[in-house]
Amino acid sequence: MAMDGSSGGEEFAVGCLLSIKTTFGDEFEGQVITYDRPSNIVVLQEGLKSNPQSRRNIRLLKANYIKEFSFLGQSDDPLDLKKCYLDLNSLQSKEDAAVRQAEIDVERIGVGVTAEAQSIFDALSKTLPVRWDKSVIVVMNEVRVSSPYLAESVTGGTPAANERVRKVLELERRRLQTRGSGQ
Amino acid sequence: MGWRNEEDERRSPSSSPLVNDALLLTTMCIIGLSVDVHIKDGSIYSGIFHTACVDDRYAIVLKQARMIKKGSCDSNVANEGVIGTLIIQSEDLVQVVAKRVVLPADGFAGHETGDDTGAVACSFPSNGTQLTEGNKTMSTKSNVDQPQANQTKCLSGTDNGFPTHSTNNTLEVNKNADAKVSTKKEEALKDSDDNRKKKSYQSNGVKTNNQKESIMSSSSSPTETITSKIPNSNQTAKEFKLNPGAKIFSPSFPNKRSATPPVIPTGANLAYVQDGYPAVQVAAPPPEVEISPYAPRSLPVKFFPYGGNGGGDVQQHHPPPIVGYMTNRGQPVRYSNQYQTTPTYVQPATQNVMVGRFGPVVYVHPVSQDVVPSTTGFSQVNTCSILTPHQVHVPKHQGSAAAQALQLCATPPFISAAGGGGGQTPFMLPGHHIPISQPPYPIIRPMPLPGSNAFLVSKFS
Repeated sequence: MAMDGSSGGEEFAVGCLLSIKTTFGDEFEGQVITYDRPSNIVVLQEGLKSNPQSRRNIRLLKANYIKEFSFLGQSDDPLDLKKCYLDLNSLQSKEDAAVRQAEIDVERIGVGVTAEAQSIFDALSKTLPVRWDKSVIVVMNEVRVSSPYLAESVTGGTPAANERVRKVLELERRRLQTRGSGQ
Repeated sequence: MGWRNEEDERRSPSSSPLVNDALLLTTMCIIGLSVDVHIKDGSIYSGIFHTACVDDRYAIVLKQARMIKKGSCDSNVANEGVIGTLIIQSEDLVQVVAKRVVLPADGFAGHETGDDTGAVACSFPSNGTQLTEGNKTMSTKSNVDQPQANQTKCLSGTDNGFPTHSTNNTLEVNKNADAKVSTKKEEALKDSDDNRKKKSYQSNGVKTNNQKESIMSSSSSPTETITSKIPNSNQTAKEFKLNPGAKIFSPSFPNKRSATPPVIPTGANLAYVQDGYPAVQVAAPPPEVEISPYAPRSLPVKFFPYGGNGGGDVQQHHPPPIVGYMTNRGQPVRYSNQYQTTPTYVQPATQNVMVGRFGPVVYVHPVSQDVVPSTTGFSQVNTCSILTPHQVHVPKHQGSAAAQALQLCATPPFISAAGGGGGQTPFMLPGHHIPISQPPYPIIRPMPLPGSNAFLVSKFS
């Protein structure tokens, strides 16, 4: 069983347990679900030791990026094609939901801001409605926190709101600091 | 590369994608999941797996992709922005890593959402051909494959769960489900379907056999889909119609009817009926040869009311009672004939039937009256016992139903006498009956009557 991925001439036996090292240095163990010759893709699943119904990582790996692998064992065909069926609707809704969620998440990610700014944003978002306006964090649609996101950089809004944002910002900064130092 | 060409040629006739099935399945499974895609230059993009091109090489499309690791190639987009749609060509693709995926193996149901339509088997190459095959064979096969089809239907539960890689049987079911789904969308259509069914049943009326019925109905039904549906309907119709909630009961109604005549499935009947009418139980036991005419007749009559009462489904079950009436009206003549021809020992059966009648309502009358004349003609002992329930029974419905039934069933003179006595003027009855029937008869008869009369008076006054 000379499974030389780059040649593509040999099949990866379905059900094989392999330990694979890729040309990029990734190393993982997995079971071969299938090997597709035309595209030269090996489909592997990780986490074999867990319960078969549980969720596993799945890798679609171009076989020609396999640097080396070792054969660990053989087990049954992981996929029973006769039992497999999919619901396109649920797939579609799953994707839609994922895309929507991603868009929401994207809103939360500042463009061109530092990681610190993002963590401040995330921290503020736990207690206050926030959004990004370029690199400025807008709190409650009125108070603006611009770089470097210190208490002094809080501007706008009613005095009460401004004061409140300052307080929360200081608190969150302190918390972030302690967390950072703790690590 | 020789093998690849070979492979292509081998696969092309079935017009399947060029990637293999398992890869396609895996691809479908990770749609909508967040995946990390490793690129040739070492960079990694994270995004939502949108789709893959499987025609030639395996290229993929990500939505909301973000670079999470910068690769060696400078020309790649490296900013932290999100790329709405990122196409990763096959040449650039190294690896796709999807985290926490459940493959639909091990009987995992991938259709949990339970939508009515659009459940599509993941496209295995054989599917198309099998489907057409199923189409062709459906009408012929459906009778034969009934039980299996039923089973698979049960397994799939809702309409949309298609076993992908399936035998012809299941495919038939799928096909049926498809047709069903399409018809389901138009309530009117469906109703008309049901009506058609009813009509067919109605015309069948006396049919005692499941098969006969299915054959009949299939022959009478206009389109192929319906043809395929009805034969299966005995069991599968239930699942089919589970989706439109109100119709849960209607399938069981044909079930009952079809199931009862052949005696064997009485158990199933009981399960369905459940409403606790003794009628079915009583009626079912007398499955003797002579009784077979009774069974189909009496049971349908009963079942209509059941559907109406037990189901509580207004829309569907209003029609059935009407049909019940109709059958009753049409049948008395026929049945009276049967009764007259039937020998004396039928009457024990009729007794049972009578008792059964007792519980259900209006529809009973024609039958009971039929019975009365025959019994009066034949054996007194039986009639006595019969009559008591009969008379008690009749008064209950006397006002409206009994009168109706009387008009309908007035065929033999006996009926008019006996039924008239029971229905119209109970007090007069003794006088009527004594001359007609033999000595033992009247003696016993008058006894119950006064009692029932008393009830009557109290009830109707």
